[in-house]
Amino acid sequence: MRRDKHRPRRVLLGALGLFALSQLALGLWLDHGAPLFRFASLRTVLLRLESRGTQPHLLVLGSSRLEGAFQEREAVLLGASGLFNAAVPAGDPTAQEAVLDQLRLAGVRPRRIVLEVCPEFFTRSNFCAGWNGLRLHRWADLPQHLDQIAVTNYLGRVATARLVPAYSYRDLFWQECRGGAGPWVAKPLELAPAPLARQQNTDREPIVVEQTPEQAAAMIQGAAHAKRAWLADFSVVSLNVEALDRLIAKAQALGAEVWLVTPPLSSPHRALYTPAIESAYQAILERTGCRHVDCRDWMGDEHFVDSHHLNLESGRLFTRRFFDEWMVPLEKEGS
Amino acid sequence: MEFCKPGFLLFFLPVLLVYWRLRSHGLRMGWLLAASFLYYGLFNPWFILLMVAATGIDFVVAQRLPTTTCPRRRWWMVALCIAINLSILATFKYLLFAMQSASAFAGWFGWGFEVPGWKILLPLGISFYTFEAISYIVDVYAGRVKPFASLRDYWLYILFFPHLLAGPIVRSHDFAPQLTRPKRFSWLRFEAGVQLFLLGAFKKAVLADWMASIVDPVFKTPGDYGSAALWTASLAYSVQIYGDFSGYSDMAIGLAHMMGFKLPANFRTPYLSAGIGEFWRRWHISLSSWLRDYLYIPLGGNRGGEWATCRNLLATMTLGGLWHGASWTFVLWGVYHGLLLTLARLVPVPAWACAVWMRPFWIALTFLSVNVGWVLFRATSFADAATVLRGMVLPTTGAALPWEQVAMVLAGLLALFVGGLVDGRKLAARVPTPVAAAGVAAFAVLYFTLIPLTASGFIYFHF
Repeated sequence: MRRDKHRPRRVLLGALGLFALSQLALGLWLDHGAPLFRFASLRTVLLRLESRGTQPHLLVLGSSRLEGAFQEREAVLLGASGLFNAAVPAGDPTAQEAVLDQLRLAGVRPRRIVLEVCPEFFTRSNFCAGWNGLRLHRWADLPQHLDQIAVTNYLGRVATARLVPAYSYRDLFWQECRGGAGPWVAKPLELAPAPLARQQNTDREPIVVEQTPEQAAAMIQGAAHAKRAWLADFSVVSLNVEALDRLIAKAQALGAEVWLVTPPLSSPHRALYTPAIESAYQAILERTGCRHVDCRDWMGDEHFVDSHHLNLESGRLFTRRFFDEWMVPLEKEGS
Repeated sequence: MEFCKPGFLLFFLPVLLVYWRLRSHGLRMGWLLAASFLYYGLFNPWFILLMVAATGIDFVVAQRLPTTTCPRRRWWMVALCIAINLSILATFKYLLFAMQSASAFAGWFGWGFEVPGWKILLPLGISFYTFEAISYIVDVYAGRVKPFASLRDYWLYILFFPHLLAGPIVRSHDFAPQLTRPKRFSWLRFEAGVQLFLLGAFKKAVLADWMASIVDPVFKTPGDYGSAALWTASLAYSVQIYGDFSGYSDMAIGLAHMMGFKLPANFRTPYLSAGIGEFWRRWHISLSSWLRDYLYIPLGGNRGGEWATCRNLLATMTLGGLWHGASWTFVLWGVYHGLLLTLARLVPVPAWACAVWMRPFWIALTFLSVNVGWVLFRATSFADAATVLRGMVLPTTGAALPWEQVAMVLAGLLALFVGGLVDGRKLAARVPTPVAAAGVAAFAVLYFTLIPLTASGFIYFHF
C-alpha cells in the first residue's frame, strides 16, 4: 500500500479542528442550553428553595459575607421562618441579578429584599469579576467585562474555560454523572405561603465567641490582601453600578421593598476604606434612594474567621441583632 | 511549569513556532538554548548560575583532555571534574541526610549532636544533569566521543528543556550529532511527537494523579488500614509511579520529536517483564544503562566470578537506590533490588520453567516482587514500610477503600498491561485518516475531562 505523505498533517489538523469544534459546541451548550450548569452555587440555591417549598418574605442576595451572616435556622428560632438566604460566593450585583432572575422564574415573590453592597463591588478590581467570567458570562458578554477579569488575574482561567470547557468544568460534569447537582435551567415552583413571624422568641441561648490565633492572623493577612488586590487603586466602574440599578428595578417590579446592607467587617478591613473610597461609595448608594443598613461595625474582631467573614456562631448573633433592630420593629409596625 | 500544565503550552508554542521559522541552524540552536535557560530560570533563576559554573568547568576540562598527553595528568583532570560534580550533588542532596544519619549513629553511643535546621533547596534535575556531565567527561577521557565543538552545544546537551528536569539521561554520543545536523520539519515526526506527548500527559495527569489520590492517604497513616486497602494502595502506587515517570519521559521524547530531536526510550512496558533482570532492562532504561556503563562495569562487572558479580550488582543497585533520594528507605529499596538480581543469578531455573507457557507466571512473580519494592520506595520511614508490608503479608483489619477506588486501581492495572500489549501507533496507522483524527481529538477531550482537580507534582522532580 502506498503511504499517503500528507496523512500526518491531515490527522493532526483534523484532530485539532475536531477538538476545537467539540469545545466550541460544548461552550455554546453551556451558555445557551444549560445556563445554570456553570453556576453551581445558584443551582444549590434553587434546590434549597424547592425543598423549602414556601414563599420567602425576606430574601437575601449577596456574597459569602451575607451567606454566613444571615442564618435561616437562627431566624426560625427567632420565630421568623420567612427568611431565605440566596447569597452565593462572590455575589456582586451582577451575580445577584442572575440569582434574582432565576428566583423570579421559580416564582419567588418576597416582601423585602436585602441586597449586599460594599465598596469592593464597584471598583475596577472587583474580586467577583473573575468568578462571573467563569460561571455567568457568555461569549457576547466577555468584551465589556474583559478589563475587570484581567485586573483580577482571572484572564487565564476564563480563557481556559472558554477554549477548553471540558477541562474547566470537569468537576461539574462528574458531579452530574454522580446524580446531579440541581437544575440546568430554573423551573417554576409552587411555593406555599409561609407563616409570618408573630412573636419574638425571648428564650435565647447565650453565644460566646472567641477568635483563635490562626483566625486573628488570617484577619490581618486578609486585610492586607484586600488592600493590595481590591482597594489599592480604587476607581468606580459603571458595570456593577448599572447592575445594581437594574437589580433594584427588578426587585421593585416584584413589589418588594429593597434594603441595601453593607456586611459586617473586621476593624483592619474597615480601616482600608479611605475618605475618598467612602465618599464615592456613599454617592453610589444615595442615588439608589433605598434604605441602607450599614453593619460594618456591628461585630467585634473576635467574630471573624478572616478580615470579612463571620464565623458560624457569630452569624447567629448577627441574625439576632438584625432581626431585633430592623425586622421586629417593622413587623410590629405592620401589625 | 510542568509539561502537562496549561501554562507550559504558553511557553512551548511560541518557542516551537519561532524555532521552525528561523532559517539558520545556528540561530535555531541559539534560540533553543535561550528557551532552555528561560525554562529552567522560571523554576529558580539562581540555580542557573550553579549549573553554568559546573558545566563551564566540565566543558573546559573536556576541551583540554584530547591535547593532554600525560596519563597521570589526564586522570587527575577527570577525577577532579567528577569530584566537583559529585560534590555539588552531595552538598545539595545528601549533606543534611548525611549529618542526620551521622547524628543518629553517634547517638547510639551517646555522642549524638544537634543537626542544624538548614533548609537546602534541591536544584531541579541536579541528579540527572550531574550524571550526564559525568558520562560526557568519562567518554571524552576514554576517547569514545570528541569534545563538543562549542559551549553552546554542550549547554544544549545538558539544558535541552525536554529532558532537563527528569531525563531521559542522554549520552553525548547520541545527542552531539543531532546538534550539528540541520533540522527539517517533518509532519510525520511532528505527529509522532504530538501523539507521544498526549499519551504521556494522559499517563501522568490522569492515570498517575488519580492513583495518587488513593495512595497518599493510605501511606500517610498506614496503620489505620486493613490488608485489602494496603494491597490496593501498593498496586495503585505501582501504576502511579509508572504513569508518572513513563508519562514524563513520553512527553519529553514527544516534545523533542516536535523539534526534530530524538531522545532515548526510557521505558519498554516494564511490568510485562518475566524476570527482574529484564525489568531493569525495560524500566528507566537511561538510568539503568548509565549505572551499568559507569558503575557496574568499572567495578568489574561480571568479569570476576559469581561472587564478585553479585557484589557489584548489590553495590550498583544500592547506589542506584541512593541516587533516587536522600533517605534510608531508598537505600533499602536499592539493596532489595540488588538482592533480587543476585537471587535471580544464583538460583538455577529448570528448563521447563523457561517455557513460553510459564511466561505469565514469571511476569506475575516479577510484578509482585517489584510491587513489594515500591512499598519501600514510597514509604517515608522504615516503620511505615514495615506497617504496610506486615499488613500485606498478615491479614489485618482496618479501614477499607471504597469500591470505586478499588475499581479505579484495577482499571489502571488493566490499562497498563493491555496498553503494553497493544501498539497504538501501528493501530492508528491502519485506520482511515478521518477516524484517526477523530480518535486523537476524542483522546484529547477524554484527557482534559479526566484530569483530577488536585494534581500532584512529578515524583522524579524530587530526585
